[in-house]
Amino acid sequence: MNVPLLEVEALSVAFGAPGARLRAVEGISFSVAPGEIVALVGESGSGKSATAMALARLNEEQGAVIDGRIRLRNRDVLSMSAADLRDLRGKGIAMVFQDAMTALNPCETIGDQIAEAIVVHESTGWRAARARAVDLLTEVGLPEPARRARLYPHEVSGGQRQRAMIALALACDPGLLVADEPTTALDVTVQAQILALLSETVHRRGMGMILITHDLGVVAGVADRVMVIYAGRIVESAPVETLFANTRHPYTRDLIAAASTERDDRGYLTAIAGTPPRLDRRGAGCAYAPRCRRASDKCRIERPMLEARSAGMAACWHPDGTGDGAA
Amino acid sequence: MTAEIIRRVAFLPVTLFVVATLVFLALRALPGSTVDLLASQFATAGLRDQLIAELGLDQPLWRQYLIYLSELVRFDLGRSFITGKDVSVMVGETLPVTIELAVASLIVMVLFGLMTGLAAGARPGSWLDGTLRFIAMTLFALPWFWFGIILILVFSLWLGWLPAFGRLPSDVDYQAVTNFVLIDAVILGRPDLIGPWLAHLTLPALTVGLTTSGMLMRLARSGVIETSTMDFVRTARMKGTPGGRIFFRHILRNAALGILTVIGLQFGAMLGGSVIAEVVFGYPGIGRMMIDAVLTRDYAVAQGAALVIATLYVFVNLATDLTYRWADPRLRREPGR
Repeated sequence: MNVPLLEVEALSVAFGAPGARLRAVEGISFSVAPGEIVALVGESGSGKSATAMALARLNEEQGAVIDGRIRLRNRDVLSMSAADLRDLRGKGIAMVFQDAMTALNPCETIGDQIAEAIVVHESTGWRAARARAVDLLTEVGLPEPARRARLYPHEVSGGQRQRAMIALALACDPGLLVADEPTTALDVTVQAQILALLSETVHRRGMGMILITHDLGVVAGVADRVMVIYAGRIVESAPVETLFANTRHPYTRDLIAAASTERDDRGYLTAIAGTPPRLDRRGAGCAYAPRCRRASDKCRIERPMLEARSAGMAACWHPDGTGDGAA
Repeated sequence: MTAEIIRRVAFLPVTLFVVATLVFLALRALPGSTVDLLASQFATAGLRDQLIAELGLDQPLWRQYLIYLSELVRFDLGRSFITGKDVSVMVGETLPVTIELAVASLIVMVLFGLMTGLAAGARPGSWLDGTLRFIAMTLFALPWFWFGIILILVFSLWLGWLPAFGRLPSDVDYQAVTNFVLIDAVILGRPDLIGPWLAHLTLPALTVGLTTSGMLMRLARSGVIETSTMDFVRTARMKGTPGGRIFFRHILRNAALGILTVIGLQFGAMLGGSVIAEVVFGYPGIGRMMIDAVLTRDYAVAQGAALVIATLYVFVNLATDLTYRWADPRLRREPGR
């Protein structure tokens, strides 16, 4: 790993009025190197999207309070002026959102939406920007790019829309791509194509990418490194092979088990019992303890920190399968 | 799109038939008769009967209805019972007046309602938003006639700035060609007509325009607020688009779809519903003509006015729908694409 592209230290994201503030993300740290794909995996409400949005301070308008440090190419994101932040968005960090149908303006052609990103960042005229939009659509593998650039989002298929969304994100050659559940709204076959496109583009352009997903299958295919997030904290972080081969955290283990299609004795699919804790009821101990089969008294009282475990890191008192309920 | 226009225009006769029937029946359900007005209480019974026969009111109701319909399909609106004038001529005189007033009211409504609505929606929760919402609610709640009377009181009686009554001063020599003053002023080379015409138009247009702008303001405001929360606005922000550009290019462009519909519907309502303003301001439009005709049981005139207003309303709604389809690319192409 060379010089990090993105460094995040002790990032917290909180919502709500002062005094009744709830933390969606609690002190997470990580870095992304150029050419690296880091997956952030968690279930709904785990804080993965809040983390992604916070990287470009996109959720501040909804009242998010972001703490910690975010440095992109050594520029401090959290202390940026509004003008610097506008410059960062699209050019430093770009995002691919989940559902391109709603994430694209229904009243504007695909080409113009891509061209707009170029026009607002560079002193390029619309004509040149539109021509570049067609080039970008070619790059993301859209058939008949010149014709499709003049179509509206509803006039192309779901996979093509997501390709257009990726072209839009690439428009100003950003160093870091944040893909927030980029394949969730798509058919399985199209999912694989989009993931391949993302992975190929990131490596070819030497960008860094953060892939937000709840789907471990997606992770296994494209990510270099995986961070598992639970209740606003990273509970395990490891290179992708290590994570699957040598899982440390019981939550990760349960997630992997839940992702498999194997059935138990009664013919049911495996699921994790219970639900994640509410933001205001996380308690002092490990947030996963109430659902964890390994949990001991210590787990319920004292919070484990993220520590180096073999090739990765895990926040668990019983990373090797010891503990109360261990088989 | 063309198919839709044809379909809607083809449906127009059905709408008009229903309107014609309802108006015909409603008028005859009213007690009293034109004859009471025409023949004084001292007229002999023979004279009365003669009048009734002349107006065709001695016929049974179904017969009157059939005669009415057969005239209608020949585009004959009949004659006024009272003045004997052709109803179509009367409509030609009064309809342009109403259209003038409706267009002027529309301009006032759009200028005021849209600007305040967008300003309030851009900064919801601000003091400006609060003030504008209060004004909008007040305007929305005010009855037209009351607001009109207050305007007359302030601007005509106290300040003496604007005339309170009529369309043009009575001493102005105006030989109508199209009956649209602005067009006639050009045709006749009479720029001197425009000043007094505008002065007379101001108060009624303000009355109708401002009282209807409250609704538009609230809808524009909520449209902007709702659109602001949509995903594509977040995408625009993430592109690094400046706030003003996001507002006009993304938020307003999409919120405009709903706003257009409201403006169209309001305009239709203004054409048919400026009756009260026309009465309060003595404005000789088709609404006032219809009211007078109903009061004097001048059946042919009331029926003709109602039909013309209904036709206009249908066309305004059609135009609104077409504008909406044109503005929303998702509806622009024929289904099945």
